Amino acid sequence: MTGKERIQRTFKLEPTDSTPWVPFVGVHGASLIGVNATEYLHSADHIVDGITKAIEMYQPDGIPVLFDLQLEAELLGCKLNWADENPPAVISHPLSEHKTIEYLYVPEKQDGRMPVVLEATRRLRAKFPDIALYGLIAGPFTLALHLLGTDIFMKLFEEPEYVTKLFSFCGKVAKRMADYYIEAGCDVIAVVDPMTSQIDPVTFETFVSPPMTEIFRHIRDKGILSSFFVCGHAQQNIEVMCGCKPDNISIDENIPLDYVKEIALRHKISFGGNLQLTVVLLMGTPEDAAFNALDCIELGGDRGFILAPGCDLPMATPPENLIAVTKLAKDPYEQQIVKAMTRKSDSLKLLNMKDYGQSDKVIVDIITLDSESCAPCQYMVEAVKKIAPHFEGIVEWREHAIKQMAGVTFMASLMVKNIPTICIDGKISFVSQIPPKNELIAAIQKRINEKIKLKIQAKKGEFIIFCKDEDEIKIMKSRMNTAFLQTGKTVDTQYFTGYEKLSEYSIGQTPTVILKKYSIKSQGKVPSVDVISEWLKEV
Amino acid sequence: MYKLYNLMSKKIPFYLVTGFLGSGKTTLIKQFIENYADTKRIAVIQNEFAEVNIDSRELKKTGKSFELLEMNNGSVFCVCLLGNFVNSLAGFVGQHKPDVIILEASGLSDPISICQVISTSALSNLIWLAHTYTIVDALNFHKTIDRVGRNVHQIRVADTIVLNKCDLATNSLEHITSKLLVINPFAKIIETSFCNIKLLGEPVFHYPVSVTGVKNAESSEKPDVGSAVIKLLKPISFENLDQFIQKYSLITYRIKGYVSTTNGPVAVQTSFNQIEIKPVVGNTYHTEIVIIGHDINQSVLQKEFEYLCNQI
Repeated sequence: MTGKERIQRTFKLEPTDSTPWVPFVGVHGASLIGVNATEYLHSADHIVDGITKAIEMYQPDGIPVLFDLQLEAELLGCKLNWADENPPAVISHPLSEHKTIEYLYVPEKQDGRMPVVLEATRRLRAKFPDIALYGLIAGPFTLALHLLGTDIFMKLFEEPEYVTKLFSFCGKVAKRMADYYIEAGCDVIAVVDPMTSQIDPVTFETFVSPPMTEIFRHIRDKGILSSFFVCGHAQQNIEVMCGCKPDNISIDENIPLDYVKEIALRHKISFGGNLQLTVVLLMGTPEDAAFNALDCIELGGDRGFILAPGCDLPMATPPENLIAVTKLAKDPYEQQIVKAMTRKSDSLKLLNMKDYGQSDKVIVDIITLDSESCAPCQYMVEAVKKIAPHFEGIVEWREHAIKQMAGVTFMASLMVKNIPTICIDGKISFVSQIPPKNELIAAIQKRINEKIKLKIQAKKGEFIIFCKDEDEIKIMKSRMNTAFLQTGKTVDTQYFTGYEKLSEYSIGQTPTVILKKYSIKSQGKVPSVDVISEWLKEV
Repeated sequence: MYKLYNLMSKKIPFYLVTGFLGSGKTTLIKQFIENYADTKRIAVIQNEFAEVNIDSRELKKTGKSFELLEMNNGSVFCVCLLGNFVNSLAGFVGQHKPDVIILEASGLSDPISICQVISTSALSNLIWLAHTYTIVDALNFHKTIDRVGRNVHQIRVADTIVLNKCDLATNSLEHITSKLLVINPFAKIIETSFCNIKLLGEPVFHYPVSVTGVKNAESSEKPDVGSAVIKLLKPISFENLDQFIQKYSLITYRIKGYVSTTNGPVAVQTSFNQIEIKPVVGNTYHTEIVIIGHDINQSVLQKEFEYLCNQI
């Protein structure tokens, strides 16, 4: 299934082989090719290069050509404030400067930056036939705000006929822009109207619904898919947004995805969102991004859902965060891993690993999802199993499957982030890639040499533990085993109950733990009586 | 139980001034500047749509010395622009090292998103959210309150609501204040004109409760505190909310906000270990809580709250 097919099927609420992923790459594309936002938005070459790079890195199923809600405003006479790291901002409003609506005209293909945008669209269409291209247009309310300024909010109340007329004009602009993008090859037309999040449903139905419904009807008549993007606190308007009959609605982190799913699917409309833009994608880690993506996918379900950020990606969004989302969206195995790893958040009792790796043997821990059902994990375990006999007696290996809670705890305690991973004496040594045999042998040998160099003279010992009954033995065993796990050491331990044994050792109360330690006192020659006497003084 | 504060300030108090378009935000900030610029290094951040920031001209008319950061690249109302806000503010604070920061948020901005970003980004090491003022236009209240959801949101997050233009109001002020209290049962409401709260004997700068537990808005003490914002879309059971509040009210200075519970939305306010929880009417879709205290860890608090949400 191609990306375009995936998007098309999802819009029609048909099943797909994976959740479609649409990163909203606007000026973030500029950062991928090392230019600033202003240069990017003025050049078809830069836009094509930026989107090409984004497609290579993020493997999307769909992608917008551009994310610039000020394009139409500029064409209609608004002044823009350009910036290096953001899309431009509208800073003047023709209709608040004594111009009338009649002064405005619907933009032509050759006006302003339109040739740049349409050329970029055509070139991307030719280059990527299997990816759904989105053409984004400013919705009528947002465009009206650009043209009139914030006075529009009072005019809603004071001059409703004027506002209706203005929105009708903005609707015409939107339809024309849709025509241009469709002609250039876009598969989806997204009407982006963030300002609608500011108003209540009644105001929305009165002023926004008529032009918006007409826009979506126009797009539908052309045989093209449509989407209604909104960001901000727009929960109150989801129902009326669906009433405008788009094929899809897309929301940001301010609205619960399951809430939108319920309403959208009831209207037989697909839906998308809502990765957290700033706190996760911009400022978080790849792990955070993967967790957030998994959360969205689980809430969105397997029918009609498109994974996307809540809005235009900030320019400085770390690519590795988006790559983590891609990996999760495309790979069900990765979803299982991340799902297992989310359990560590619920378990706050990590093991104390500061003394791990001090035992005689070299401990090789393999952290897996589950080597029985996960192929890479199985190969990783096999790799270690094959070379372990080479170090017979010196190396001990263990698998920790994160499908069990103990495995999750161990993984988190060693701060392992990826699956599968090989740790040698608690140190992360091989991540995800199965190491070649000679590299694995060399890494283990290196650790053995380090241990010899440190001259770890293992103080041999033995625990003898006296308990009052089997229940007490059980508790003691649990504690002892945890300590062995944390230190990587295993010491012979005997457990006793019963009066006779307690008397033999003159034990007055239970539980009592005795540690018998053995240490080498001399080697190579027969010690003198005086030396032996000194030893006896230690007893 | 009170803690001794480290009197050497480490973080800068951040005041958010929000409110709908034309409500009088700039007028209030002018008062801050006129009354405190001689004794404190004040930094003002303004965020507007206009080509020329008219409000900044108004502030400069005070003739007082203050630092100004103008963010004219569109309203910081959209989360996609908050990253830029963080970088600009961090650089500005590093350069000017103010004693106090005041953000005049644009009339369309989402105040909680701003607070959340401050609490989770590198800014959380520099500043903490001290107080939120929401200016309400008594004259035009009836036009916008039912139509503009953002207006309601701004009222909900307020510590102090300045009900301005009372001299021009045509509707009964009692009607307005009772409506405000339905939206935000805990905010202090001051009725005034020209945002002149000083004339009413109110301190213009509201420093938080001091170490002795006595309100001392003119205190020179600057506690080393932090703030965190918990913002979640999942509801929590009332029992788990109570557990969280009981635990953290003992070790924080203040918790306030709105919580979506499985029994409906509630407003929460704690001041040290005094707790108030009240049901609220109207749509409250999300949990949005601001926590202020010593050694605040945003991530730990958010994760613990999320954990409790999952234990339904």
